[in-house]
Amino acid sequence: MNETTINNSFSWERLGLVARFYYPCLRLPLMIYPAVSLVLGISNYWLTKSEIGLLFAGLLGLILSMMFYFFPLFFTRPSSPVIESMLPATAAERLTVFAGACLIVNPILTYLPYYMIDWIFGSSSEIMEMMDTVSKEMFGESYFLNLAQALPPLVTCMFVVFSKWKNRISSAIGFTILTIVAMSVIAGVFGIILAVTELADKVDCMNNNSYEQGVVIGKFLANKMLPMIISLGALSLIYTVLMISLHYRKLRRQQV
Amino acid sequence: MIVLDNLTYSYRHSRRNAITGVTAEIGPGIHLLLGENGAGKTTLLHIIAGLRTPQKPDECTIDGVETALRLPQTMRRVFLVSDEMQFPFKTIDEMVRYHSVFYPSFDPEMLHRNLETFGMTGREPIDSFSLGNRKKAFLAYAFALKTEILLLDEPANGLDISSKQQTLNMMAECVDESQTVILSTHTVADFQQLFESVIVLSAGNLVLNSPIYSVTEKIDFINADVPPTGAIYIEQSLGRFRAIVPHRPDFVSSDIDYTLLFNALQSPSSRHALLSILNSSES
Repeated sequence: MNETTINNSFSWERLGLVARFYYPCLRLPLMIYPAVSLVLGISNYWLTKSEIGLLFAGLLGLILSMMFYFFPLFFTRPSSPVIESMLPATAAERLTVFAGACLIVNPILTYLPYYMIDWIFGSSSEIMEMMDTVSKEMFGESYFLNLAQALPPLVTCMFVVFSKWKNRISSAIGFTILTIVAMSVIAGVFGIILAVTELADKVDCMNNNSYEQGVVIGKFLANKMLPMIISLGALSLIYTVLMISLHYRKLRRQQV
Repeated sequence: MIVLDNLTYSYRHSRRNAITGVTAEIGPGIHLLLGENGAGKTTLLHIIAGLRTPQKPDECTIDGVETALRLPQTMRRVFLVSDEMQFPFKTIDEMVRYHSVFYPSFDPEMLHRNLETFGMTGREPIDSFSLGNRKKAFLAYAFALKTEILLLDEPANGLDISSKQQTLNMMAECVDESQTVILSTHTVADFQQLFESVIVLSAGNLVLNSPIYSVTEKIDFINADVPPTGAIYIEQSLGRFRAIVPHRPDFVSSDIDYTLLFNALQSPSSRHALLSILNSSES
C-alpha cells in the first residue's frame, strides 16, 4: 500500500479534526438541550399528577420530538459552503461526525435528562402507571422497531441541512415536516383499519385505571398492533439507511 | 503541477458550456487569470479546488490525482479565497483553532504578521467587519495556510487603495517559489508586478496561456501621441494612442498593458494576428 492510499483512507485522526471543526456549532445545543429536557421532565412529572395535566404532558413530548428532529439545524450556523466543501477529509469521516452528532449525541441530550426524572421519581400517578404498563406490554418485543420510527424526520433534516447550501433552514424544516406528515398519514391509515376492525369493543376498558387492565390492554394492543409497528419500524429503518447512503453520495461529490 | 486536459464543464440548467476543451499545464508561480464576465474564471477555480466535477473526472488533475476525487491529500494542498466565502467562525483565532489544523504547512507567525499589517489582532468578532476587512482577514489567513496551490478569485474586490498595496506586498512576501497562485481579477494594475504568466479565457475557451517574459519578448506596448505604424491593435483615449506592435529589438517597451492585451484578444479583428505572434516559437 503506498502513502497516498494510507493517507486517503478513513482516518480517526481526521475524523477528530472534522468533529473539532463542527464543535462550535454544537456548543449551544450542548448547553441548552439537557437544561430544556430536564425542565420538561420535571414539568411532565408534575403535570401527570392530575388528569387535566395529562393533556399538557402530550405537548411536552411534542416539544422533545421537535428538538430531536430539528437538531441538525444547529449545523447551519455559521455556514460557509466553500470552506466546508474544501475540508481535507473524506465523505465517510464527515458523515460519521454528522451521524454521530445527530443519531447518538442528539438523543442523549434530548431524552436522557427527561427520562432520568422518570427513573428517579417513578410514575407520578395511577394513570401514568397504567400508561407505562400499556406501553411496556405494547412495545416490549418491538421496542427498537418502535424507536426507529423517530429516525426518518431526523435523517431527512440531516440530509437537507448537509446537502443543500441555499435556503437550507427553510428547506430542512419543510422536508422534515413533510416526512412527519407522511409518517402520520401511514400510521393513521393503519390505526383507522385497526380501530374499525378490532378495537371498538375494547374501548370501555380504557376507563378503568388498574394495573391489571393496563396489562390486558397492553397485551391486546401489542397483539393487534405488532404488524403495524413492525411494518412502520422496518419502513423507517429502510428509509434511514437509504437517506444515509444518499447523504454519503452527496458528500462525496458535493458542489458549491 | 495542475494539468487541465480538454477540460469541459457545463452547469445543469445551462445550454452552453461554461468551460470548453481547456488544455493547459500550470506550474509554480503567480498566474493572472483574465476573462470577461461569464468567461468561466470562477468555474475554473472551483474545478481546480475540487468544488465542481468536470465532465470527465480526469480532465483536471493535480500531480496526476483527479481533483474531482476530493482526496484529503489533494484537498489539503489547495485553498480558494472567493467573494462568496463566509467565515464559519466568530474570530480568526477560532478559525486557527478549528480549521487551520487540517493544513500542516500553516504558519501561525506569518498569520500574526499578516494580521498586524492590516491592523488586526485575530480576536475581533468577524461579524463586526466590513466587507473589505473580512476580505483582508481571509487573505491574511489564506497566505498563512501556505498551501501549495492558492486560488484567489477577485482578491482586490472591496479593498481600499492602501489595502491593495499591503496585499500586494503580503503576496510578494508570503508566496514562495514552490507555490502556485492563480489570481483572477479585473483590476489587473493592483498586482501586475507579481505575475509570471497570463491565462486568458473567453466564453469558456482558453485563448492564451503564456509566461509574461514570452509575451514581452514577442510584442511591445506603446503609449504615444501619434498612432504607431505596424500596430496589431490600437486604442485611442484622451488624445493618446495605446497600441500593441510586434517586438522590435531596438525598442524599449513600456510595462505590459494587461487591459490592452485583454482588449486585443477580445477583438475579432486583432485576435488572430496577435495569437499567431504570441504562439510562434520565434522571439
